[in-house]
Parts: sequence; structure tokens; C-alpha cells
Amino acid sequence: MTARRGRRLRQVFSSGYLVYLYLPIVILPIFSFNDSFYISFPLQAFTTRWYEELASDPSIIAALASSLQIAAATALISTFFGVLTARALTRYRLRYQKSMLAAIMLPIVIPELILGVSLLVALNQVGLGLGKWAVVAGHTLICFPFAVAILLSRFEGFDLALEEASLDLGESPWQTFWRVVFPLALPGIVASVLLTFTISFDEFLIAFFLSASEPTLPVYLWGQLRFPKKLPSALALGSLIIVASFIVVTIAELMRRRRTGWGTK
Amino acid sequence: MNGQRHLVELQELTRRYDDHLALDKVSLRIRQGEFFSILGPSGCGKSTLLRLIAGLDWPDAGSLLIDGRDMRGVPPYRRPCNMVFQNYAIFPHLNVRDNVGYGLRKFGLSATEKRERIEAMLLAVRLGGLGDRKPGQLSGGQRQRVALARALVRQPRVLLLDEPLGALDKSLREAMQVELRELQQSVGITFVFVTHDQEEALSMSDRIAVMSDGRILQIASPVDLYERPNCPTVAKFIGDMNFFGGVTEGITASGGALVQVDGMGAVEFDGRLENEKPGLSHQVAIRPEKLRVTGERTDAAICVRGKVVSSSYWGDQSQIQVSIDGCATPLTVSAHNVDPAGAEHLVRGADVYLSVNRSGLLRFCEEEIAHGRV
Amino acid sequence: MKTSPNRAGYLQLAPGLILVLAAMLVPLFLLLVASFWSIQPGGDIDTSFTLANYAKLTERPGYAQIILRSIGIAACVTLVTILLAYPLAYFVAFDVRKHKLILLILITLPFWTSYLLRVFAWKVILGWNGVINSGLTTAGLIEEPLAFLLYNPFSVVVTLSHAWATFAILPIYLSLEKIDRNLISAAADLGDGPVRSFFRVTLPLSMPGVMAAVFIIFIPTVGDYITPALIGGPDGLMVSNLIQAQFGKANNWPFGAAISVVSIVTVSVIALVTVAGLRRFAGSAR
Repeated sequence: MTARRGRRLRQVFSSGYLVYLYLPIVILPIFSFNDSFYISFPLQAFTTRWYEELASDPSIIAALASSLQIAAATALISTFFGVLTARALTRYRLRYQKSMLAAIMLPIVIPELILGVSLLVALNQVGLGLGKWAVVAGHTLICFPFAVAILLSRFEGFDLALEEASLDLGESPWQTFWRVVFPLALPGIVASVLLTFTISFDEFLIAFFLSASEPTLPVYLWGQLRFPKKLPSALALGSLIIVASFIVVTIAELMRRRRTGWGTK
Repeated sequence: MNGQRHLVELQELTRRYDDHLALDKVSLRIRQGEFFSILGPSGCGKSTLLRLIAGLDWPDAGSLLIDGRDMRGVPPYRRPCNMVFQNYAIFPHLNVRDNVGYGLRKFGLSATEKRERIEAMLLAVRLGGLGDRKPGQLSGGQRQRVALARALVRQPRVLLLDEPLGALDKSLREAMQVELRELQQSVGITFVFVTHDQEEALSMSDRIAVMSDGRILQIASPVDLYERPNCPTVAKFIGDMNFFGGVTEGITASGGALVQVDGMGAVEFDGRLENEKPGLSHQVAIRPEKLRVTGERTDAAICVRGKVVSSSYWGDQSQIQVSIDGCATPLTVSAHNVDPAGAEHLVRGADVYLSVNRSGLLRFCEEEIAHGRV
Repeated sequence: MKTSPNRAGYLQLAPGLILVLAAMLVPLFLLLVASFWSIQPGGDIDTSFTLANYAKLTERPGYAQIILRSIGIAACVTLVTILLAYPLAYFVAFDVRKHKLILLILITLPFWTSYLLRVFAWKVILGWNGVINSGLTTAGLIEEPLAFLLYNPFSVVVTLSHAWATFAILPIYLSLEKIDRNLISAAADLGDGPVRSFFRVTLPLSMPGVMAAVFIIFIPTVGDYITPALIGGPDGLMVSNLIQAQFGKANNWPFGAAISVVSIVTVSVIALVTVAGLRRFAGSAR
């Protein structure tokens, strides 16, 4: 097999693979405009009534509000912790650095189900109730590694001498943080906030276990899936969420890769 | 001793990192208005010393006084000194003007006063008109001057410079050396300048402290350091040096010493080493330029025969290696080619006479490093 | 400055570490502890130490079956995902010059959409009256809808391989990208054709990426809940559904805790063994 033929094969394969990757994501919007209760071909008339149905449903509004609140809280807390952690790991020589980093990254590898279940048990034993804050706790746990990963790469290129120069020039450590560290880390911080927000907003399993009577949007969506008549509006909701996620994530990626000559040696 | 005369005083400053002793009981005193250099090879602790003065690091033992005040517990942002960092540490997100004015925030200046000060400073370091540029648009030399301006605009009592010229190419570096010296003399601020380049230190400083392995070997003016090094390490570090062995024969009537020097026979010295007694083995040394190579015997007090081993011609100078009886290694002689005939006759194998300027001979008792005295 | 910088460093690490401790390590430990408890007939918890839950797992073969099936599915998914992802990663690393960044973003984007939605979309695609079946019927290619598409382990594997695609592509791409192209040229220079040099040079050198992919995919997949719940049907149920039932309808959550513990331990052991084996392979080709 010549190199060129191999390349052609790989090109075809990759195109097919990309189609396979995007197929489900594209299906939802297509059928959300389909005037039928059944998600199947042939396509019927174009309609927006499923979207209109969404707008008039109060429980959706409530679930959306819950999701937004939880995602906002999660994004801010996990990013803030992430900044502190990434800065500590890159700025100081501390012992057990590798083990600590491994522990921080562990939530990515442990199945969400186990994390959710163990939090459920723990919260019950300790006597703290379920609900929004429980979900925030769980989401922060799984978003924190992502925040740290994003911010670590941002801080690793950070010249320590810049902080020292600021101290030398009369600014206290706190003022140094605001005048030097924060502005230079800002693209990373924004990326982290956006990404963790998205992860929390889309997260289902932990919310399923911990949200009790205040469902998030994905949990609400899950509840709707068993009603055939609600299926198309579920698709509409799903499509909206997908589009929103896409936009947010694209902005975050662009921010993350920003190189305006900021902060790197 | 009048405490005010010395602006910076270090007493037995010690700093240890894990198992490595970076500074070992370092003491020195820097005078107001002086251009003071700290010279030494990489890893000798000179940057650590500077950072201790700046407050970016703190000692494990010893004391540091600036302007008579004990700096123990004083953070860097409350010390009357400012630092020019090795790689400049210019804030990439601020333009030149904001960089230079960064440390003026707490000075209580009006906006106009602040602006005027910054502009004056930019002119002084020849960056006038570049106030709006971003650091990414500046050359290395320009960035260096921004760092300088940023520190000087605060009019600190002491300016600390951590090898600031290291990243510049040779011609730029030499130009900056002159500029810095002139700047220091016009502004009158005390400069503490760290470098590993001995020529740089010799040409710019009022006094130099030579460091090695966390200890100060000698503190002296450039001339004293060059002509009267106090130990072989310093002697070797600054310029070239020829070493021979010497054995004390006896003490002279005038209190000097009679020494049998390799290759030269008995030589009388005016002074005495510590613990000098007959039979003491020690090192004798002389600078290459204090030796003279001639074709004929001269009437110098010490003149010995030798053979040319090799010679290098550098246009204005020649460097000749001459071997003499009684010395294991050849001596290095440097000569200015005053005679247009040059050193043509000094070819390999030529028989020559080596004249030694007796007052240029130095003696060292051991390889032991003496603690520097002010 | 008064405080040692190292102390300041530990202080800054504290919030993150406390989070990990309080939200993960302690709860996991409590889960372990709870697996030794039991439920009284009235619904109360009996906290006396007992191994009854673990014993229960061995009572009926059904339990072990589900655990084994989960591991099997996860292994399949890992294998399939990596096999499918490798050519694409290779393509982006070696065959693409100009648009690498765009391609990488394109590959990463789907991951950021809601997992629940993607699984639901697959349900819609694979269903009896779903997109594939109705499409093929309308196009006249089949008479009867294909039954094997949904509600069995096959559909679970298809869906999960899709879900984890990006997690396989990226690590493999990164390690392929790092390979010094000169090594491949050297192999060619020494007589290896493209296929041989791939197996002797490229593949072993890309093993770190493959190992990372294995780790990232295998363990979480064993514990996946959404896909088997929506798509698995009774034959495709996995251990997560079993666990969830214990916390829900069956109301025997110490038992659920025990199942969790057994699953995680088994899975970790398998993953470590696999990685060790792959590491040996990576080193053997030298």
C-alpha cells in the first residue's frame, strides 16, 4: 500500500468519522422543527410550535433557573479554587506536588455515578440536605480538575519576576495580584469560567442524585423523555442547549488560545 | 563608626537552601553614593545577596540595615531600594509609560506631576517618545532602559542591579556600561551592581566585592583588587596571574623576608606573611604585564634566562609564554608592541631574558580564603 | 516578609485540597463504610459491621453477570473507540498541514454538548421507528425495521464509542504529534516499508497516548448510567443501573454501596494491569 493511497484512505475514513461524530448533534435540531410527534423519516412540515411550547412551560423556566444558578456558582467557585491551586503549584516548590495533582485530577476518572452516590451517602450521614447546594458541591468537585488544567498551562508560562518586580516597586502582595497576576491570567480565567459553567449546566447524573425537589434542566429533560408527546419539545430544548453550549465553548477555546504577548516569558 | 556614612550594612548574613549554603556569614558595608559591584562566578551567591537586600528573600541569620534601619521583617514594598531584574520583568500588559509609572501610585503625586516625572525619566534614559509602545515592540536594549527608568523614577536610596547587561550583545553592553556609570554619577544614587564579568566590574565600580561559594573574598577598589589581591582565588579570577612556589629562608633585619623563589633565586621582600618562619612553603605570583621579555640581559634586579614556548600576536599586544629553569610551568608575559618591529624576534624556541619587576611580586600564605574586611 | 513562601503556597492549595477531601475522599470512604451496614426490615439502618452485602453479590449469578457484562462492554467500548480514533488521530497528526487547529476544535466541540442529549439522539437514531430505520424504509432499502439496533449491548457499545471518541482522539493525537519525524525517516532509511515502520516505530511510540486513552475511557465507562438506561434495554443493563436501583426503588443502599466498591476495585485492577501490559509493549519495540 503506497503512502498516498494510505493517505487517501485515512482522509475518507476521517471524513466519515466526523459525520459519525456530528450525526446525533445535527439530528436533534432537524427534528425539532419537524411537525410530528414521531422522530422518524419522512420529514413532515416545518414548524416552530415545539419551541413555543417550551416558552410557555413554567417548570422548564424553573429548571432553567436552577441550572443557571448552579452553573454560575460552580463556575465561580471552581475557577477561584483553580486559580489559587494553579498558582500555588507553579509558583512554589512544594512537597508531594505530584500526588496532590493526581488527587485533584481523580474526579475525572472516577465514574460520576460513584461520586454522586457517595456524596448522597455522605450528605445523608452528616445530616445536610440535598438540593441546589449539594449539586453545587458535586459539580464543583468534577469541574475543579478542568479549571486547574486550564489555569495550570496559563500560569506555567508566567514569569515570577513580574510579581517580584511589582513587590519591589511598592505594591503589597494583594495589590500585586490585582495589578499584575489577575490581568495576565484573565484569558485563562474566562476560559475556565465558561468551560466549567458548560460542564455544570450539562451535567445530569450527579444532579439526578442530589437535586431532590429542585431539578436542573437535564434532570427535567430526563423526566420528559418518558412521555412521547413531550418528545419533540424535548428535542427543541436539547437543540437550544446544544447551540448555546457551542457558542460558549467556542468563545472559551478562543480565549484559552489567545496569545497577545501576555504573560509568557 | 558613624552609621549614617554607610547606607547598606550587612552583618554575618547567612542563607541556606535545603543542604546548600548560599551565603556564609557575609558582611559588608556600602557607602552612600558609591557604585558598588558584587563580582563572582555563577552560583557564588551574589544574586541571593542582592535579593536579600531587596527583601525578596530573607536571611536565616545575620542582620541587614539600610540607612540605619534594621530591615528584619520589612517587606520589599516598604524598603527604600529598587531593583533592575536580570530579564527586566517588564509588565507585558502595560505600555512603556505605565510601566515606568507603575511604582508611583502611592507617592501622592498629582496626575500632572506624575506625568512630568515619567517624561523626564524617559528622556534621561533616552526613551523619549516611546511612551506609548508596548514591551513586545521594544528591542532588548530599550526594554533594559525601561526597567532602569521604572526603578529610578522612584528615587530610591539604593538601586540594585542584577546582571542587567547580561542579555545584551557586546557593543551595546559596552555602551550601556558607560551610560550607567554616567547616570549614577549624575543622579548620585548608590548603585549595587551584580555581575560575573570582571572587566565590567573593574571599569564601572568605585569598589568591588569578590564572592565565591557564598563568601566574600575581598572588598577593594578596582586598582587595589587588581594590584593587591588578598588570595590566589581573587588573583586568578581578576585578570591573568603567574604563580610560582616559594620557600622562606629567613627573616631579614628590617623585618622583611628572604624567600627562595622558583626560577629566580633568593628574593628579598619588605613585608612578612602571617606566621612567617624559615621553611614556610607558599605561593608567589606576578601579573603578566609586570614581566619584560628582551633579547639581551637587562639591569633589573631579577633577570633570568628563558626560552620562548609560544607567542600570540594581537596587534597592539603580544602574549608570550616563556619557560625558565626552576619553574614547572611556563610564565605568561604580556607586552605592548611599542617597537614597530613588534615581537618578531620572539619566535618559538628563541632564547630570551625575563626581567621581573620586584615590586610587582605578590605573596599568598595559603589557598585559604580570608574573610573580607571593609 | 514574615511567612515562608512555602507556607503561603500550602495555604493557597488548601481550598482545592479541602474540596477534594470533603467532596470526594471522605464520601468515598463513607461509601466503603456503608457497604458494611444493612437495612432493617422497617427501613432503618443497622450500622453494625456485616459482610452480608458482599455475600449477597455471590448469591445469585445475576449480580456477577451484570458486573462482568459491564466490564465486557467497557472493554469493547475502549477497544472500538481506540481502534476507530487512531486513524483519525493519525490523519490529523501526519496528513494535515494547514488546518490542524480548526480540525482539533471541530473534534472537541461535540464533547462539550450535553451527554444526555447525545445519548438521547442515538436513541432516536437507532429506534424501531427511528431515523435509521425510517430512513432506510422510506428509501426502500429494507422491508422490516432492523431490530438489532436498539436495546441491547450492541447499541450500548455504539453509543458509548461515540461519546468517548474525543477522549481517545486527543491523547493519541498528542503523543503522535510528539514523535520525532526523523525516527520514521530513519526506519525507512533502514529498509522498513510504511506498514512495518508504523508497527515498529510509530505505534509503540504512541503508546503513552493510547494508555492515557485506555485509562480515561475504561473506568468511567464501566460506571456509565445514562446510556444503558436509555438504550440498553433489559439485556444491556450495566452495573450502574443496578446500583441506582438500590438507591431508588429497591431501597437497599448499603448493598448499592457494596456493589460500587466491588466495581471500582475490579475496574482499577484491570485498568492498571492493562496499562502495565501496554507499557511493556511500548518498551519492547526498542
